[in-house]
Amino acid sequence: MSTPVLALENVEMVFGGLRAVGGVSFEVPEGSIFGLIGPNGAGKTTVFNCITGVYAPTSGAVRFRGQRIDGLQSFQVADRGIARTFQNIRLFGAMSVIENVLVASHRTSRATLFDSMLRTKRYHDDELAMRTRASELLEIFGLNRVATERSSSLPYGDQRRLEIARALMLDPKLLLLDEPAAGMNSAEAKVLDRQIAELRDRFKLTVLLVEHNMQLVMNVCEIIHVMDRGETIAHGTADEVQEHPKVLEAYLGKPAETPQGTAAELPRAATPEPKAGDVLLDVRDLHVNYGGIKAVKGISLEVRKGEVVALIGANGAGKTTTLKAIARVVGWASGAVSFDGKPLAGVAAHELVARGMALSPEGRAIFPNLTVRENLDLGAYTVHDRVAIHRRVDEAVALFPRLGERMSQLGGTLSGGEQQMLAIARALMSGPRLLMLDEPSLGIAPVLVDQIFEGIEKIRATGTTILLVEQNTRRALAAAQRAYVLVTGEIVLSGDAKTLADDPRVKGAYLGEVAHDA
Amino acid sequence: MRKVLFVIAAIAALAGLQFGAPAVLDNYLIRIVSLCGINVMLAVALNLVNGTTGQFSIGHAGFLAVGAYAGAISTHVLDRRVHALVPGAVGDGLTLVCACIAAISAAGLAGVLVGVPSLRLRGDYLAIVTLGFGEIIRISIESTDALGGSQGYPRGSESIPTYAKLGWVWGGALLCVVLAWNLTYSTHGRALGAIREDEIAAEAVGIPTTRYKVLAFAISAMMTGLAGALYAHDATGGQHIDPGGFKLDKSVDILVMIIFGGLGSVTGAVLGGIFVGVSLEFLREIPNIMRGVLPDAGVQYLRQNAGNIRLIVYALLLVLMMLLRPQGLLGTREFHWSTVRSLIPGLRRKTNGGGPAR
Repeated sequence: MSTPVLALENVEMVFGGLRAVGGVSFEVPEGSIFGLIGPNGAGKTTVFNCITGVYAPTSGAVRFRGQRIDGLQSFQVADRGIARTFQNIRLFGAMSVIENVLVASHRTSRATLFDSMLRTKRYHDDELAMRTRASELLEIFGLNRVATERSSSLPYGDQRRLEIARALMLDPKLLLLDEPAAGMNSAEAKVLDRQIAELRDRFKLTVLLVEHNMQLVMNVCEIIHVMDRGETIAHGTADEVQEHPKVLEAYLGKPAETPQGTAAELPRAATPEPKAGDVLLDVRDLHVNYGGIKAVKGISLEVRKGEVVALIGANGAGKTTTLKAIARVVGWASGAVSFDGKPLAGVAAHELVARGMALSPEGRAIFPNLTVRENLDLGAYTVHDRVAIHRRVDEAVALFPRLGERMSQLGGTLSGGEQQMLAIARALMSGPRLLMLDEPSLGIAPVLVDQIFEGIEKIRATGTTILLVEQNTRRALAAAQRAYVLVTGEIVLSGDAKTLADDPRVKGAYLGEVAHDA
Repeated sequence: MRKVLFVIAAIAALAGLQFGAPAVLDNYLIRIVSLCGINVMLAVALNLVNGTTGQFSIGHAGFLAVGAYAGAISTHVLDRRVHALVPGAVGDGLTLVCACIAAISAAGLAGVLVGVPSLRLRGDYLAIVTLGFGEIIRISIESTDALGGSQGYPRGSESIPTYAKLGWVWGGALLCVVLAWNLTYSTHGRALGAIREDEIAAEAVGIPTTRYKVLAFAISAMMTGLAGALYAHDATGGQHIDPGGFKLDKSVDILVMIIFGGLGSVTGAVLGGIFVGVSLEFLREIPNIMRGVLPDAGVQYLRQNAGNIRLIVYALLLVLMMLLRPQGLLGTREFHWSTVRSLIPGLRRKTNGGGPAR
């Protein structure tokens, strides 16, 4: 057999005293689509960073087409022909879509600095060739129509596709995709699924994929390497891996220890169903615009005391914008919102915290350079009662025991799931009456998602009202009493969560099958 | 073909400026026009680092000083020898060109020397290092007797010949603008922009970020050095340069120019350079404008304190600018006539509304 495109030999990575990756070896054959999976904290991202030159492994070797690349800098790795995308999209925001792609022509461009500054013939020829190629790549992803738009103005899915187009401009031999389906809905993920295989054939690529979306991984990957806690636990085809007992254990927890099923079947009757209590949050005909784009078009909703209300919908439906508008982080074009009977127009975002509203933002937004404890303390900024602060820290630990183990660790060193727990715990530190959670399950391993939803259930049991924004519809509807379904900035469905869970129209809302006036 | 036409037109315009200006403008105005040209070079140069590449230097007065002194020394050494070979105006020009080359080389070298160790740093840290560099240059000059110390250069009754007439100064400015423009809107300029936007992503597409930062810094230093040589030889430099002209406030002035024009915009830097040059001079006229508005005693007071009041009003203008248009005049965009119209949305309405009143 020919040399594998990429080979890891006993790669180990130690941070301080923490062994993030302990001796991982695998080979990626030429032309394959290779999946690297594992629950959060498994060390996938660390492996990724060892390959791409962000880290130099503590020991072991990384070989690309037979040559050592460990210890090279990122740009040198890219120069050898390894292109990558990022988990949390990293586009050059202020640059146009086509410029983003053109930046990656650096490797293939022959124009020197003097050609550029003096605009020689070679510069013009080169530029023309690059632009033609960039245009072709954009065409593949249907992005040519927005070629001159600022890349930061693109919708999420397009930004993801643009990142792949940019990576392909490098003319790579190996394409590394870091969670390409994160934040995509199932329809978008399905398209991506097909696209990855097409790209591999068209550009003669080898693809290495890190992904949480198991359906995508199982569909598209020919070889799957499974990691847990820095170690390899399984390696093989989708069928082999899916049945592997260690894999099942890593993802679902040990069968004996985990209660059957998910939050859906958790004993909800333990806490009394809230009576049609007083309205805590009342949103009337809220409109929000971003520049010329109407993100939220006349939303009305209410949240009663003690309820869990879910706001669900596909990407770009306006869920996050609605939360931000309620929290007064973005301005309203028109409409009215009242909290506990008092109108919120003109109230500053930070004042709302003192009034009893807390937001755990999308993407977690924890303070990475502060410890877990300091993050929590900052959440209690409006609280002046030391005893209450201590009590709430204890409550946070009881809610998410993992945080207790990590109290003096820097927030940025936590895994994604742990950061999400921290973000929720931090929001609870102000002792809110209304807790707004924005996408608490985004990009998090299933086993931690369970823990987070269990936490949400416990928070509800203490009488805190929750407004939950979630893409994971099934989980959200299981956790909530009532729900609103958002499609392109408008509420198309609302009602009892259990009823909605069985309503085929909800699925339609995600796939774009529901008419706006449904 | 267009390129050739452009060069011919540029040379004709510069020649016109060189020989025509003294006939039309008085010395004071020539000084302002010359100062504006130097400002344009400085602003375009700093914009390359602070705007396009997104690094933060506040030590460019140091490169200006290096250029000015290197140019002045070169002329001091070469002036007679060159004129012995080529007399007259051609000799003047040749001497000046030599001075410019010396200045560009010296400042470029200084740029690389400062850039290589410091450009791994980011943001505030880089700002502090460049600030320190600027001060080291100035203080070194001040304490070197051969350079005239704080008395300035050249020593005694000697003076720097004023060879850098308007044509040369604006020729330098034009050169800087064209080169900066070409660089900014090319593969290499996109690499610099990528560094500004996201260094990690830039590395991931194969851009050696440190090398590019040093490159931008060196080119910027060279342009600043050129400005220094022309400054030393023009009417503004006053035939004499001293370290007092290269203090931190000079670096801040350049920063103001590019922030005013819009960080990252080449044409914005040009406008900013001209604005700062003109407004600082124009504000001297405050007492004269206020005549008739204020009582005589007030005008008298303003006149006595003109120097300070000018700076206060200038600072207020900047505060207003930051409040009303924090992204600068042009933001990251480039100058275009349609931009002018969009900048002043009230323009049309005002003229329409003003019509009936008249």
